[in-house]
Amino acid sequence: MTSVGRRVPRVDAVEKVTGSAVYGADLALPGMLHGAVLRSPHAHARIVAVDIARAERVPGVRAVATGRDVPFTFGASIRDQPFLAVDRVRFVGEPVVAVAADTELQAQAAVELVDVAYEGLPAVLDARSALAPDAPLVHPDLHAYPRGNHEIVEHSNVDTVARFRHGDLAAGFARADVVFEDEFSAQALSHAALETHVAVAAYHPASRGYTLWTSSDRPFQLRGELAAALGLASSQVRVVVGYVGGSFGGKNTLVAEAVAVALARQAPGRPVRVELSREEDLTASQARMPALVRLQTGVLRDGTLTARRAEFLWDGGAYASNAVGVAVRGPKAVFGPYRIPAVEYESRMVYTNRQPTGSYRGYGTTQAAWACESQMDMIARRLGIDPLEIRRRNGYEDGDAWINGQVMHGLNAREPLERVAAAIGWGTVDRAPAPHLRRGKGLATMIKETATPTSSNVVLKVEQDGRLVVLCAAPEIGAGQATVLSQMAADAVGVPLDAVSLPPADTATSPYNGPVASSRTTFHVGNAIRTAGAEIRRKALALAGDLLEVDPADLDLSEGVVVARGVGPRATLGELLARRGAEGCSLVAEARYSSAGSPLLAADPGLGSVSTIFWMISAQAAEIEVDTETGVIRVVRVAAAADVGRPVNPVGCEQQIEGGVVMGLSNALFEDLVLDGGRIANGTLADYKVATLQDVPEIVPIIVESDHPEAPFGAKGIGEPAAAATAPAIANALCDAVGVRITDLPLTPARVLAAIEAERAREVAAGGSTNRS
Amino acid sequence: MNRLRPFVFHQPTTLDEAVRILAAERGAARPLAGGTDLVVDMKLGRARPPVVVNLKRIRGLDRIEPVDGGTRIGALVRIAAIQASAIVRERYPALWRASCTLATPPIRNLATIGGNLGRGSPAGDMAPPLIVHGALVEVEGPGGRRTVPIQDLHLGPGITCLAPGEVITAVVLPAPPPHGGSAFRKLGKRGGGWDIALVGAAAGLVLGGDGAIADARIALASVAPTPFRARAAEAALRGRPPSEEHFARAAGIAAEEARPISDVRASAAYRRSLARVLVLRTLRDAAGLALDAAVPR
Repeated sequence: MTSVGRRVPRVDAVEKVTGSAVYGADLALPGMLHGAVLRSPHAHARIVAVDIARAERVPGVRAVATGRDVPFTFGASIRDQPFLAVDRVRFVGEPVVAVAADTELQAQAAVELVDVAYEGLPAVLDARSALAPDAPLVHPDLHAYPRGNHEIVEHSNVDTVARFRHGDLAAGFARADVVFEDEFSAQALSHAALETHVAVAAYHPASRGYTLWTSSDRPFQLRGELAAALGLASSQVRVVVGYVGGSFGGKNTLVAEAVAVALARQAPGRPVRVELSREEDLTASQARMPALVRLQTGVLRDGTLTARRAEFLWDGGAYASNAVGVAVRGPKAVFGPYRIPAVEYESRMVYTNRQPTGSYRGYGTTQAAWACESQMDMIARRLGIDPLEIRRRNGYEDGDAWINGQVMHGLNAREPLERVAAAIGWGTVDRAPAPHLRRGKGLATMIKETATPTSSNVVLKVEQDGRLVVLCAAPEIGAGQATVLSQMAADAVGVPLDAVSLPPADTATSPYNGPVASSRTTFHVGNAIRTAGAEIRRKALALAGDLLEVDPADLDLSEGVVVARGVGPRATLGELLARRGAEGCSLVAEARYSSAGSPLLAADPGLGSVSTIFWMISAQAAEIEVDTETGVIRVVRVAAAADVGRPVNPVGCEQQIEGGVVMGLSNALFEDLVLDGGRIANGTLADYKVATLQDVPEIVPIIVESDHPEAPFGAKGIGEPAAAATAPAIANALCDAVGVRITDLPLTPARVLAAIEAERAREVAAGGSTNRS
Repeated sequence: MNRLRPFVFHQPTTLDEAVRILAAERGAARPLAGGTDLVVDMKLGRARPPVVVNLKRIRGLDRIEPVDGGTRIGALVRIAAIQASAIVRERYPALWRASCTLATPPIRNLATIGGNLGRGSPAGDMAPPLIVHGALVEVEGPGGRRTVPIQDLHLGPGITCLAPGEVITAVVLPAPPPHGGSAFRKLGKRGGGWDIALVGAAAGLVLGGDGAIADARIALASVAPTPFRARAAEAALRGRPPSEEHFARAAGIAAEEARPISDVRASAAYRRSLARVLVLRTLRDAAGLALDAAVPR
């Protein structure tokens, strides 16, 4: 029986529910020290003096590190971030001094004895003020930092500018019957992964190298970032990643890692462990980028879109972190899964004095889809068109050209929307059970590309007992990677699923892989597994032919058993390898998949770099109940569909869809990192509210299939598109229920009630004037 | 993770011993019951008591028992036990409702009624229903035993009238009045209970033989520095028929008397409008129960 396509339990389930799975936070090494960090109480200040004498005298303290001890900076796109603040702090919570001690308690106690004198500087606390001509500069030396080739504005707070244009915008707007202009905002969010940022670092004086055991979604990229920062060859840094307790786009740069490395340098030979507390994780790690989105959309009276121009202003926080890519690529999703003849965006990211922000499940699509799908409903309402109908009218079909002219194949553009609309009973009205309650339904859809080109390598190895080992740097971050990769490997070779294992990712032994991000793992690693699996299979059959004295062409390998055609089972894979006896034998194959050079990427001249190897389309429909006296929204039901290509593990796909809805609902209704004078005012889980099981509505997960010509076993990605449509679907349902449009997230009860009351007041005023006339 | 700083930990097994230790430390010691607030505060560094006195080894403080027609609830009774109590559910609906929505099940399994009151949070869920039920708080201290009416227990945020060395040992609820009904509702940040109250409201109504409201009690959480009794709204109901019109008027008065503040959880204006809505709804709930009680079966 084949594995792919079957509803299988997660391969890591038993380990995880019995508590034996080893996460980053579980690591304990001989001689390990524990770190703690003194953090900045100021949003922006000069460091005048640092006195560590008292801290150094605390019993058990083995090392104290200040910014001057670690004269390096890191950053994936702009090398702007010190390991520990040197002469200036740029956000409340920035690491200033770190202590390593025998116990975490000793380290935390010692940190309190460090004295730092600051001189306050004027702070930039939101993106708009960062643009003011007289705004204080968060990084006066921005122009001098090593960075990639993206555009910046020197001597300003603008650290990223990206533009995209396709089609005749002037003509598109000239042709429009109505031009809509609206502004939307999306808030700062915490990834709030169950496992906070945690790392153990060791410095090896003999080789001047480091080993980093950490909780990250990208071992090789992290290694590259750290080696570049320290001026080392990349192989002098080894990164090992076991199970990751959730990333959601948040575990992709040096957070706990920076502090652990700084301390390891001061304590050669002793591994140093740094684990962020939940409060540090909320306030001083990395947040989803807040965004202001201005949309200008031209429409014909029948709802046909003629042109769209988008302006994004992203609040990147104190350091660029990995946010540059979000500002560059994220806005593509603002055009939705719609045919628009002329499109343009201008995206700017600015430094501010708040915790660094960056990618979050969907890489900018949660913000872009919020704007796009809110405005689609505003357009539909104004023009008197059904929200489902306006989306149908503009929706992509297979074979349409995408925003860069790339021909779209391998997607099922129509079905997600139709399926969720049907599942929610679109067009029927449900009566609310009480007069102060109103029911409403809303739809939203979205499109997401994937990072292109990227590559994945795998090495497959058959052990002496016939078990199959998959060496690849694709950590299981909780989304089911280990299961789908095992399923594909089992089928590619012809062994049972339980004969496959994936050891922890280790840059010293695993071949190169891109990050576990951009919903790319199943597709890219799967493609490499498919190729390497065929090679292993060929080698296994050749060995069997040799040992059994049969023509390999007459042999088959299935469920780990070699079968001779017309004869029957001859030997298991393990038995074959054992026949090599004392001489020994293992079978190994390696393969690489890269999306570079695929004929699918052909686009209009000059726009090939925008192309994507696949698209993911998802849609959600929400039914909600609004308490018109308190403003409380209760989500009754959400139908959510995603085009996954072919599901490798349908259960896993449904779990991703359901998890995405819960996350999207939580973002839409509750979560918001509130900044008050530079300080996060709700930096505990008592006040930063994340949805719990109590808030989860009935969810109807729907898997939609399509045929992608390059997909391994037909599979594309699912992780990111699951979350982005929820917030606009709920906001659209709110408008359906009570006639108010809220363009700022989250949809808090106070905000909803204020909008309802304003609408009532407006109706009364309008009614009054009618009476007078 | 945040580590607890060292502290001296006492685990007395008798009330006398606990009182003696707490009195000797003269305010430097913190009593520990469920620990759901204290331990969090200690981990976050908001509290650094040099001495912690665990009260949970003291026997006899964890019982719900009948007394003189009423009910005595020991200070160490966990919220989950109140929720599970048939006596509370049948006789004290406001308290029972509050016990169902206090925080989350894991916290309800640890948190105690005495701890909730002693903590003195303006957002505490237990005080408003206990005010409505007319509870008395039993306190034991170096000067012996005394009884405090529940509405006199709290003096300000985190401040009670307890002297150093005094501990809450029980709350005593009188027999519920005949033809009475009570209710509790709250709204947290996630739109339901199971959360810190943005506003919590308890109401109790007693109907007279003429069908009019003989007595009304309204108490609110999170709208003032202490659990807040809306006396003007109560007065506006006495002698009136239990009608929507009078409930709406009283709810408006209660919202006006409330003194909410703006903080990260909600604005004062939103709290005020919630207070009106929740008082109105609890009055309706309470009236429904009172009318049921008034109908001969």
